[in-house]
Amino acid sequence: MIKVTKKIISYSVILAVLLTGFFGFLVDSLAATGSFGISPPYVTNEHLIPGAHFEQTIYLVQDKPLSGSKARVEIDAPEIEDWITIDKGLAFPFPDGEKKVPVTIIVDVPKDTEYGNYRGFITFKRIPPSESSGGGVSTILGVRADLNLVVTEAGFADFKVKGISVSTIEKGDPLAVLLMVENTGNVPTGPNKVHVDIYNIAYNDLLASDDITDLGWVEPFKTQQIKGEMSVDLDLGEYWADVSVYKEGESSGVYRIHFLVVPEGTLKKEEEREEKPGIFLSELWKILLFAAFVIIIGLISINWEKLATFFKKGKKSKKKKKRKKK
Amino acid sequence: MRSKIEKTVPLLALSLILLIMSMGLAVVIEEIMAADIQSQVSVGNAAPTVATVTLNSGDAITLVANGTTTVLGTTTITDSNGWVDISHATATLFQNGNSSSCSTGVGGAGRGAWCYWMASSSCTLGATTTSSRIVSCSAFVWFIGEPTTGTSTITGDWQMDITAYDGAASTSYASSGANSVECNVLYALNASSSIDYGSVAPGATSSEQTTKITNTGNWQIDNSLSGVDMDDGSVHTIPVGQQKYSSSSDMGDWVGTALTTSAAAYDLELPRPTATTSNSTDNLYWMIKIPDGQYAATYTGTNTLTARDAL
Repeated sequence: MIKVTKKIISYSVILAVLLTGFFGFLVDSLAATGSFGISPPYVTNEHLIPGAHFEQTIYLVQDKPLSGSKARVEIDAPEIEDWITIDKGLAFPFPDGEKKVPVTIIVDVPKDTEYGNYRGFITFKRIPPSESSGGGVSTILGVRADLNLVVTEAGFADFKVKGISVSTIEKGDPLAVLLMVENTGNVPTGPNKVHVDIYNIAYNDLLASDDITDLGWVEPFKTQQIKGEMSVDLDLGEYWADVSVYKEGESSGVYRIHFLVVPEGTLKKEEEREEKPGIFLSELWKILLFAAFVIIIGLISINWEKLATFFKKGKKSKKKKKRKKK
Repeated sequence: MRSKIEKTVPLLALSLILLIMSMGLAVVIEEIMAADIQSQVSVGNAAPTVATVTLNSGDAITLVANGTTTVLGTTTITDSNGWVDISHATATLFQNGNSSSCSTGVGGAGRGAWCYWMASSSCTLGATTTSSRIVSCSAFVWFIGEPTTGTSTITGDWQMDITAYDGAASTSYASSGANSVECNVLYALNASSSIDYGSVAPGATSSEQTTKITNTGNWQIDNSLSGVDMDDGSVHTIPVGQQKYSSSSDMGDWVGTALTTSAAAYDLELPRPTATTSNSTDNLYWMIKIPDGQYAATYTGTNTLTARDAL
């Protein structure tokens, strides 16, 4: 009786678990096809000049990427539709498994465009592998990016520093400061000055200090790397550089960066090693030759007695031949 | 030949041992003969130094609808006692316009809208030089992360502070500071995948059907709605305008806004979610009226719900 009751309870528990799982799956699959979004939901530029070229990347995002789903793009901007190109086209498949899909909106302003504010929007629809099944209405999700483009005659200079690095240098070489700069204006621009303080590795002794003013420019609406150099006389070792970037005479922040001074020729050797894998191969050959040599010596030592006998026999036969000749 | 080698090897080995012993003896004698001056130095502990943090490669943070996205901060830690003295690192990623302090546990154990604390297990120590180590800390930021661009009215940026610890538990920290980045606005939604009106007679209206719409982004949104004529896969269609929708559940006998083929804005008011299980939802109600004399068949169609800026 007790055994039967136990069996009933255990089967009930198993059944309950299975049913819960099944209905959970069913509810989940019926509920929705996963979220769909856009970030950022706008394409904005308030400093375009006639003839300008501008690109902005937006991301289509989803939490449960549907295999085989596609994007359909609709541009609703009557005045400026011809200016706009989507890098992936107006219909494209979502890459399998991708939660973030970058889409670049390319804007080419015609040279004869009148100054003014131009608006519109771009809608991205996520089309599932099968739009409708059975009776009823399928719901598909879309997201909208607003277009706000201002064409102006006014020059506008501004930039963002997206990253700074200081390269490892060889002793005697100048210090190279590399800045990744995004020009957000419509004229070529860049930092007018970079101030560099160099400290020892313990960061308690200021060793050198200077301004770099010859940095170059970044073209409008582009992100480029620019480089400045500073003469230094540092011993081999590790150092800190505090780099301040100046925008219109004001510091936009201090970046503390670690760098190395290495012996002369080190970087060239590394570069050669990267550029010429043959050098590595030649080293590999040396290793292989050495390995072969070791193996041969090993074999000789193992079969020493046989070899010795062989050589002794050889000598005896030569002596016999000589005797016969005599 | 063999016997010669056999005799020579022990002699060579003995010579080598004697040579090593002589060298060792020479070193000992040199020490004894040297001036009787003892030098002693105690090397103290130096706290580690941390470079400016590079956050998300300098790019704005883009979140994933209804999920998390990995945000990486990297920096260099140095220690004058050598890289081996660098033991571990912890970090915080936070929206710096918020007046509260972001520290251990704040933000619901890393699930907040503005503050993420990373234990040493989230910070990986990597490549070394004599005195430095690279460290990378990663946070999994939820879709509710506060946006700082575009239509957002939230001030500030996102920054990461990385704290380095050495063997003597001396600490030092650096933030992304000037490398702080923005967090993009995310418009995102989720909705029921279909509407089933069931079997409806010509001239009659269906019962109300419900579509639950959830805001799975980080800012308030509204919707645009559009659709296409329903068809039976043959020549028969039901005009798109026969479907009506409303945010009110009381559609009576087909009261609401008629669906159109071009997208029409509708004020649903889905506010910015503040919880990782989105707490911003709204229902949209649907009804269909079948025209008199409609051919009997099963009709299908597609309606589009588009997330857009709040009206």
